[in-house]
Amino acid sequence: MKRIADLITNHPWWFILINVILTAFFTYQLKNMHMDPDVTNALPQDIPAKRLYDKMGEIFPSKEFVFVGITGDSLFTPQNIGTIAALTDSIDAYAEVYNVISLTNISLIEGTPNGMNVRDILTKLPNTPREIEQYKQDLFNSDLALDNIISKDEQAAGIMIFLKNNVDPDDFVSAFIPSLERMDQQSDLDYLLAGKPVVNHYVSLGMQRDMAVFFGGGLAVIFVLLLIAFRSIRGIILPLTVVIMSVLWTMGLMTLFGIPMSHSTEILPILLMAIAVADSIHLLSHYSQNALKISDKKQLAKSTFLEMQSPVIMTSLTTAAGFLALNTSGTESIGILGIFTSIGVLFALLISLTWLPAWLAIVPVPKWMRKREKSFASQKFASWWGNALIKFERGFIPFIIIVALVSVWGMTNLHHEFSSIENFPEDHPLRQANDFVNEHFAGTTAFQIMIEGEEEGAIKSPHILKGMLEFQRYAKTLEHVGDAQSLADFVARINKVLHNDKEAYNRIPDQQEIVTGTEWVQQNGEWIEREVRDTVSGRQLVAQYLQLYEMSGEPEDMANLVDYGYQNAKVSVFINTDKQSILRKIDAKLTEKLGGLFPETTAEITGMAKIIIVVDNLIVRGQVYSIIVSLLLVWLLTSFMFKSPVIGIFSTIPLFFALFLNFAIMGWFKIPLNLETMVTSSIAIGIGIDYAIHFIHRYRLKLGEGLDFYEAVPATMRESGVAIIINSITVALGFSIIALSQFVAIAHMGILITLTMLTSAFGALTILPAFFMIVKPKSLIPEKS
Amino acid sequence: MRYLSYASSVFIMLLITSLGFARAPTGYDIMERMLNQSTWDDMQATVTLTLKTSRGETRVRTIDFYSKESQDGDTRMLMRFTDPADVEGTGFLMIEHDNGEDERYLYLPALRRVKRIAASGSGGNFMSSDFTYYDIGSPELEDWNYTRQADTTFAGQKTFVIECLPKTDQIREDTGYGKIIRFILQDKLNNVKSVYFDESLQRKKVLDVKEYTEVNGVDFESNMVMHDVQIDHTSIMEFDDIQTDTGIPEDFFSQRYLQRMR
Repeated sequence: MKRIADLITNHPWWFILINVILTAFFTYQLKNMHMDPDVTNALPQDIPAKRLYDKMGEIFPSKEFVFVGITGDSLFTPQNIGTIAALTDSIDAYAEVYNVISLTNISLIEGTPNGMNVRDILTKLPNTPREIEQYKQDLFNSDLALDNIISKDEQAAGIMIFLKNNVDPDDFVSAFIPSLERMDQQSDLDYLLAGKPVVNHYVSLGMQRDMAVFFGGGLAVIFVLLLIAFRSIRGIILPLTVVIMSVLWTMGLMTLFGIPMSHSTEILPILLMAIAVADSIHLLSHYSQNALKISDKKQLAKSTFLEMQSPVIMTSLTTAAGFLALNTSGTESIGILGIFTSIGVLFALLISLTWLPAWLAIVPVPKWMRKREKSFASQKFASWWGNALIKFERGFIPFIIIVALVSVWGMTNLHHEFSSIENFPEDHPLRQANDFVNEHFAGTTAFQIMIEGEEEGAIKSPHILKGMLEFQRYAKTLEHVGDAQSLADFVARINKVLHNDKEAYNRIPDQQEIVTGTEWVQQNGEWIEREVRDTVSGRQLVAQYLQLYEMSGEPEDMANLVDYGYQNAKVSVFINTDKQSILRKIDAKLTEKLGGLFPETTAEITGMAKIIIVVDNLIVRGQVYSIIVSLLLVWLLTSFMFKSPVIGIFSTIPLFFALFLNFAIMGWFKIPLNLETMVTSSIAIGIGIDYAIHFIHRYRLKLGEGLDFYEAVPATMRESGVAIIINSITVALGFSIIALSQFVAIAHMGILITLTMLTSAFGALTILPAFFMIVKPKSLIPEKS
Repeated sequence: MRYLSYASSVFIMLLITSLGFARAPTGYDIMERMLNQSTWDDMQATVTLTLKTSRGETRVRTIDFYSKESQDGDTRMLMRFTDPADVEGTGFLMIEHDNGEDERYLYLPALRRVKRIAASGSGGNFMSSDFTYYDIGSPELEDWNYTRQADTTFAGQKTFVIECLPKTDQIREDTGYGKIIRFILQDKLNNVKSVYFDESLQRKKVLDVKEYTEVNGVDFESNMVMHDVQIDHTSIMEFDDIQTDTGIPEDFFSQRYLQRMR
């Protein structure tokens, strides 16, 4: 280490140059940075629901849709229908669009005296009241799934835009929003946009806003803190450059690996800033303390490096380890946050230990720093606190018991919930649009049931179609289910239309059906047509219904319902909320129903709604795993550092206190567990352990100096307490910027991390000394060498 | 089928070659020669219709195909599906009237009934394929305005290029085509390629005739590939076992016959 210190202080310009070059290199990479707001990309590929979702994307041409809601005073006027028809056509022209379903372009299946006709609902736009009336009749008598194209009160129209699978949905959304806004200004109708691609679009915008706010806010907070702490230009500029460089390196490296910014990694820069500045603060405060003794700038820089490298390296390692534990969460984007924050922490360590001493070896030591009177006010407070703890000794056990009881009571209110829509602030246009759409239409969140037949044509079997139809009818009885659709609707409609529109035939044909038809026979040399009754197989009936439809259909009319070989089909169930707690209940009921309906066929639930739940389940598991793993990691590291597994366990005491309170607060204030708030715990462990390490390190020194378990408390407070308080406040203030996020869940996380930093520092400065005073563990006393 | 009636053009072609063009033929002339000839009264064949999506899925239908030009100028076609098994026996009868709407009937053996399919225009798709009813029927020469464009070569052969524009809005609406460009080989008058434009004049479909089979000394389009460039979907129609003039009686193309199981 001494040789490194010599190297840096003797050749500072080299180290500055290397840092500048690396910063330039990593900054240059940022030109390729992109955003990935899609939460499903966070999932590992080996999850069955995700695999099925991807498979569905291969079999069916479209799995995602954008929804346009249109409202106005009166929908059914020639002008408004004309506007909707024109909008429908204009949407169809986008390259990303697979197809559009609106009330002006759906296909009707109509019975005719001799047969059946499939036609567009509008061959020309209706102009007269009579034509409008006819149009409405055609629409409402069609047996079509209308719940997503006309509102229940008939006051609003919906357009479903199915996007192709191999396109970037955001290309469409970002091009479509401006054109819809233009229409909104030009026509009397109002337009609302919803659906997952739209949510993702706004998530992406929110992420960009958040990152700007975090970066700006983070720099501002750090600036103020540094101003208060050091009141010098170097005390502000040097830490700020360390912080900015650490962020640029880390983000540059991420981009180099082709990793996009996600909803989880957007907090990476601000986390890193708060952690990175702590190293600088430690180094610089030591520098200004030593400035009283050492006057040569190189010597001063060298001594700062040598005395501080060890604790800075230790705390960086524990912090990095805590973040690495995020990889056990099973959620890819959280894992990436963990890996790159760890790398970032090590980058910050590297920069702090080269860039800072290099500059300190160059710039002269200011005169005022040498003359400055040391302020003891904070140290006085710290030792007062230490003495107060000793007096309060008897109160600790009741205090802990009360805290524990109140926490456990709070934790019973814990719930896990996430809604990507309710993650937006209440006045956000997206949230208002979604509320409207979900209230008036079938819903924009969907479960999809993949039914995979054994061989080609399997879907034409009546028992499978019956199963699908029964499943749909059951689904529609559930609360929050807006609609359920599949190929079976078409087959039932055709069956009805071909039986003189009798409602009794609005069903799937039975396995065997008795049909009444005619045949031609020769009688006395004359051909006559006579009635016949025959038993035919339902499978043939279905096949021939579909054949009849195909005779006048378009090539891909049913491509999104059934594959080309009629081997795989899809049932879509639309839900008017994306609240996970509700989706979970619906999923459980649908799964149970599915079990009995398709005994010989694979039928499994997937779709956006299912994936949301899978994310949620991962969170619960991930929450537990990553907490356990980070606790184990910091225990191992501290045991290694203190060469005692028992002391390792002591180090984790403040963490348990902080974690307990964290979950209690979540319970009390109804902050739900989710993808974002779960991250809090692991981060808290990685950073919060530092305070315990600092405290125990110093406490043992004091015990070694011969102080007893009581005397050592105020002494330790005096020497380390101040640093711990400053460190935790700095980090907490830095993290508190996260609470400014536009997203509710991330803001929650900001609040929680801030609180956890403070509670873990409080734990290190209160619970830990109290524990030591009460238990008096012999293992703490260092062996005399 | 339209292409069936093109096919007989060898005869007129020989005539043209022997006489020599008195004047440069106009687009109309070329089309007239192509369309107005027929060397057989009836024909039958086995047709394989293959549909392909851009995702590589295919759907295959095999059909026994019969066609006859009747005395009154009507074209009659009867198709009997032989595969897949669950639609075997399904029959389709189409009578194209010279004047008035076409008649289309589908016999569904499982229903024991003939169902009439409404003929709303001829732009509808045949069997969910990229061929419309218009494409497989025989076109009216007088429905279109023809403009001959600069000749080109196609696979090394001199080729006429003819732009066809619908004469009326009704024809445009019915057929769904705003323009058709036809490539016709000069020596044999084979319509080897056509490019179809939709009503808003966007390129919609491209037809390539991949194979000709000589029947009665006439080149017959026995393998046609229609590619819809807008939705990237392809339909292939192949003709095998072509027989002509087997004397199919007129009443073979009736609802009654349609309904008789063979």
